[in-house]
Amino acid sequence: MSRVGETRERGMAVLMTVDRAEVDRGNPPAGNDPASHLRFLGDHIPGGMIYQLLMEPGGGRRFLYVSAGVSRLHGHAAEDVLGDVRLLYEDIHPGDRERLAAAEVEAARTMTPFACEARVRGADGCYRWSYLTSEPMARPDGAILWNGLELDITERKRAEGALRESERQLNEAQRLAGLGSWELDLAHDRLTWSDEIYRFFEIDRERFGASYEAFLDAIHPEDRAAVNEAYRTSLERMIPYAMTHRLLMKDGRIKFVEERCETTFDASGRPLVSRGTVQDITERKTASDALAEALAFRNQVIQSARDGIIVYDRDLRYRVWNPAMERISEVCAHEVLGRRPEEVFPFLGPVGVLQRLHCCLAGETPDLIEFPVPLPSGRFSWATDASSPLWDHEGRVIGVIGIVRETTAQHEAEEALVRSERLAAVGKLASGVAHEFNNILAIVRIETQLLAMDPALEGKTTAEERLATIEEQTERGSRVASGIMAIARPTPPQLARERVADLVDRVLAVQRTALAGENIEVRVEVPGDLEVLADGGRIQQVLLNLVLNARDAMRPQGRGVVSMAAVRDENAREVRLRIADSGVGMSRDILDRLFTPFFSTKGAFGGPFGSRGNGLGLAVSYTILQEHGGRIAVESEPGHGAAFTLIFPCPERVLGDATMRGES
Amino acid sequence: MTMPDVNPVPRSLLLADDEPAICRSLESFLGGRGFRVSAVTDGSSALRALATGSFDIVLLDVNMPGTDGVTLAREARRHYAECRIVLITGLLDTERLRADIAPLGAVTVLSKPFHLKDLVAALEG
Repeated sequence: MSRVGETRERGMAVLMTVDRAEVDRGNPPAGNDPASHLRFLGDHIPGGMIYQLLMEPGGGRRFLYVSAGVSRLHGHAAEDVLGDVRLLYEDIHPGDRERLAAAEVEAARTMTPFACEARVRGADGCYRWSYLTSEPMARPDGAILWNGLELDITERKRAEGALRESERQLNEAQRLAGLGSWELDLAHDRLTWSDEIYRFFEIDRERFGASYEAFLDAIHPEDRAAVNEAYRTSLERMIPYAMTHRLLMKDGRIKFVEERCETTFDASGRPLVSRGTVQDITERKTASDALAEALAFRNQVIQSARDGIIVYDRDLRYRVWNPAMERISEVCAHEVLGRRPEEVFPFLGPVGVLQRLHCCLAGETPDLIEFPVPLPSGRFSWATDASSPLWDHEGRVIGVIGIVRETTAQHEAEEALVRSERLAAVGKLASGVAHEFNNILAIVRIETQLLAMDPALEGKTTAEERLATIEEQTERGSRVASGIMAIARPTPPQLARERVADLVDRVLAVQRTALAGENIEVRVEVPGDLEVLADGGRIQQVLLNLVLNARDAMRPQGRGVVSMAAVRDENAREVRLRIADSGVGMSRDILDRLFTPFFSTKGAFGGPFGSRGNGLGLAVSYTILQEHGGRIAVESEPGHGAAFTLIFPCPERVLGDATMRGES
Repeated sequence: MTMPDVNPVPRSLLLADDEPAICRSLESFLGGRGFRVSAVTDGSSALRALATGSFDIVLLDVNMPGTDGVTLAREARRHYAECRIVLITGLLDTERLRADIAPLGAVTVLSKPFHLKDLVAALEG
């Protein structure tokens, strides 16, 4: 055991005289000697050391005692430190010496303890953190005795640094995420907010603390009840909650936050701590609101459109089928969406819509098409389809968009118009027929009445002449009837290759003498090899009709020229036979009505045989040319003659078309 | 078949119809009944006749090339305020025709085929 010397100072001073060599580092002292226990204690302060320093009035200082910890903390033997005080002072980090010295001076002046933290060089030569505290005691001789303690706080400092860093990182992360956190200690009614919450609520952290009132105050008045209710329910049912609500800022701005909260409970179910996060989702909410609004607007447009809107994807599957489409097709969206047109509407192939959709996929924009739509109800409607490719922003076709418009009403109106025009035409024709027959009947009736009268009253005309007139009128009626039939129900012509020259010759053969007798010269310019596909009899009927018209037109002048010329137009692939006269010509008014049944000018120049036009000749001629796939053109001016041109398709064209249709 | 007696006083009559057979037969028939008949087969000739001749009665077909019967009737009324006008027509629908001639005062319309007895009644009043 060590020897302990007497001292008048406090217990610690007693240790001054301890012989360092006698210190037992391993085992505590066995006896009841307090000095031994104190020394043992001093040597075993965990992570620290105690010391006693004497500061003499002259300024000199020396350690009176240092505990064994000095070798652990500083790597110096206690004896060395007792011999040279500078050893420890030099271990203090130069950056901290001044502060430490100032603390010591102040403590000496006021004679109060000082405490400070400083970096101190350790046994390994590296700086570590020490907590230094010392209490000054004045001695009668003017010296100051310092009783001090040095503790290694490096670990604590590191932990503090780590904590500070992790807090800094958390704050930074919260700031970046727009996320704040809060904690409500229900047992102690203590609320803490993270920096971000102050920032969200725009509350000055330095001036106002966290409070539930401040929180409620920041919530939008319309949302307060819901937030309260959500929290209350979560406590009651012991479940977490999450909700989105608004914050109303002092200046009227609105923020959207997403709130999540979870509460811990004790064994009896009493709530202990509620912890929550608040995330500012204003930007996200604004963007998603804008998107939702844009989508809603797009939907409103599609839903409200009066025309049908269809969108197909690249596989031609229906993606959009708006209510107008449901109305037009009588088929609901759920029956078509995701399916392909040919599966739902087999008729789209035959009417050409399907092919157009494929054109659209190839980037083309086909013309509008109108087609009949068979409806599930058994009715038919009409619709137009305007389809076009659907392009993405990089110019790729990603589908097809179709606008469908129902045209049933227009179609029916058009049909009704055609029908009424046809009826009007039929009415005109019927009235023309009736007029013609009434004239014939009038003649027949007059003649029969006159035949039945007293011969004395019937004048110079003989019964035979009257009977001949009746016979003539019967013939005339018969001709009118066959003319009507030719117009009303044309029978297909018996087409054969005919040389135009032959057709002309056959007509002139029977008329040339009669024409010559009326001072009418006939000129023919028809290439011998020019052929047309024609029903010879019918075309001759047309030619005869035109020649007789020409003759009648030249009668008032008493002379004239009829020229017949044929050419082949290779461009138009047509053969044209032109019959021109030098007669009286026709006005525009007459030309307009020339091919109308029962329109005639013949009465004015009625022939010597009592013949007059029945107004059917040109109408029938026109029908005959139409049956040949051709037409009749006419040009004339009053006083300058008239020219009728019969236009036939070239035989090769007719035969070629027939071959293409697979006909023989 | 019987007919009223022949007119005691011959009256002049303009007959215009583009049906030559009608013209011919009526000219002969009416001539035999004491009318002095001038017959023409087109509107233009009828106009010329109205301008140069003097008629107690005009008997006009409505549908004629050139100048139609209604125009001729107007012309006749202009020339001879007191003359009797008879129109003959093969048209079935005479409503429009009657509207057209309404301003001309008393005009008789006969539809073809008519009975000669009715024609004579219309001409003689």
